[in-house]
Amino acid sequence: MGTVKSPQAEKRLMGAGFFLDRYRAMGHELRGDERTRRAIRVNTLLASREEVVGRLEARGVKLTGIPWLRDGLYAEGGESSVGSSFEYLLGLYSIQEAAAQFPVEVLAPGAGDVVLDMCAAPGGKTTQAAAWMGNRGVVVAVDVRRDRLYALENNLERTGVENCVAYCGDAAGLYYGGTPFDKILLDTPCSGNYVTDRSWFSKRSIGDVEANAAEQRRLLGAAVGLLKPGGALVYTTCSLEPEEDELNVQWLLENHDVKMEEVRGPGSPALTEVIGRSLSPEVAKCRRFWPDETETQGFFVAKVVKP
Amino acid sequence: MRELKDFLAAVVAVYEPAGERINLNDRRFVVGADVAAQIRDRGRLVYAGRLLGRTRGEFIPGASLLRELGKMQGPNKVWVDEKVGWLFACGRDVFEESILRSEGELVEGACFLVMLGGDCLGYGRMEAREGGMLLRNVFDLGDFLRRERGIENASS
Repeated sequence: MGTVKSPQAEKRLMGAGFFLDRYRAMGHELRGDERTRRAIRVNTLLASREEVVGRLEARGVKLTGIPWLRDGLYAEGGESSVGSSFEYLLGLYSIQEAAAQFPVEVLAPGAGDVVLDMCAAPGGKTTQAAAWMGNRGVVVAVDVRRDRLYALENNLERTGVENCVAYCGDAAGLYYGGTPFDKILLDTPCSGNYVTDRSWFSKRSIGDVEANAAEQRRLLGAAVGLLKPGGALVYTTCSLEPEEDELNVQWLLENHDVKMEEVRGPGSPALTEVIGRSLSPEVAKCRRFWPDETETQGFFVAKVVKP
Repeated sequence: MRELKDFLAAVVAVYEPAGERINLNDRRFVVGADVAAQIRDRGRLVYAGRLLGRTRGEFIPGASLLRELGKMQGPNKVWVDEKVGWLFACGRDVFEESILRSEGELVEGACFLVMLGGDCLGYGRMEAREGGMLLRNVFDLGDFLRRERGIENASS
């Protein structure tokens, strides 16, 4: 990992053909033009599912429950965008892609927990965690990018979150008072995926993927150190690339004292034979979301517990 | 703007949330004990607990205060229909003839919460105009969308 490649070699390791061949080798015949279904999440701090369904259906929006999510609904139709309705302004729901709603469900933060959201902006998962906690306990939300934190602040206010402390800084380097966290969500900056970014194939290369993977390992190591014994860490990316997913989990198992927890839900078990590497069978406890299987963006979710 | 100040003092007096007050970047927050215990690095802090409102110049109540005030007896209120409500949420003023009903006298200088059914969309101040009154928009929830678009434009 992290080897320097010539520009010519780098060019060969990018583009739709390269990545789609890679996914084919992992068992998925993807077209490269798969898209997600529009999804919203009911904000249970301010509204019930019934209220949101009733109010949006009166506006002509057709809503269908997402079977593997507690508060998620697919949204179709309607005269105006679900992003510009009274109900949205009032904070009764958030627009959040279905796969992106899954990590907080896996973390399952409770009312008394002190939770760290390490790369929190723009705040979709932060507000979801606060809703799971019923505005009790504390979510410490951190992001290094001030420009993205404005969106998080906007979301916290709109959705009525009252139990969050947000900081601008490197989540791995901030001083948290020495008290370890009950639960940590590490939704790392990653290479992303082509499903949510139409220009993805033309701008991503294996070099980017490896650089992101290195940064993710730095954050993963820090996260384990910030977790209390018995605490849970959920690691997630919206990348389909094994370097950022299975290989980082393998690195975590080899370098830190953590125990894998099985992630149950949609998608497939993570890969243990991938890009020429044989990984621990424990890695299969993670979950991979393939766009052709789940109608979501590419996604990866791992959960570990600190003994 | 004396009336606006009085109105804000009156509506905030109706609802005074408990907890420690924190002023941060021209905004006022209230925090409970659990949240206060997690505040370590004030220099990097950008948000804490519940945002009451903005403090640059006049205090402007934020969404959470408006949510509570909209449910309470006491503050002046006007009710509007969806169409007028949406225009208000887009930053427009409300003409007197568009007001369906009101609590409080529609006189120049008086301030009113703007209600759509049970939901508070913001508030404004009455001004005289030729042939009647106009509720001049001071703050509305559409501010969230305008801020979101501003953030997107700044990021792109």
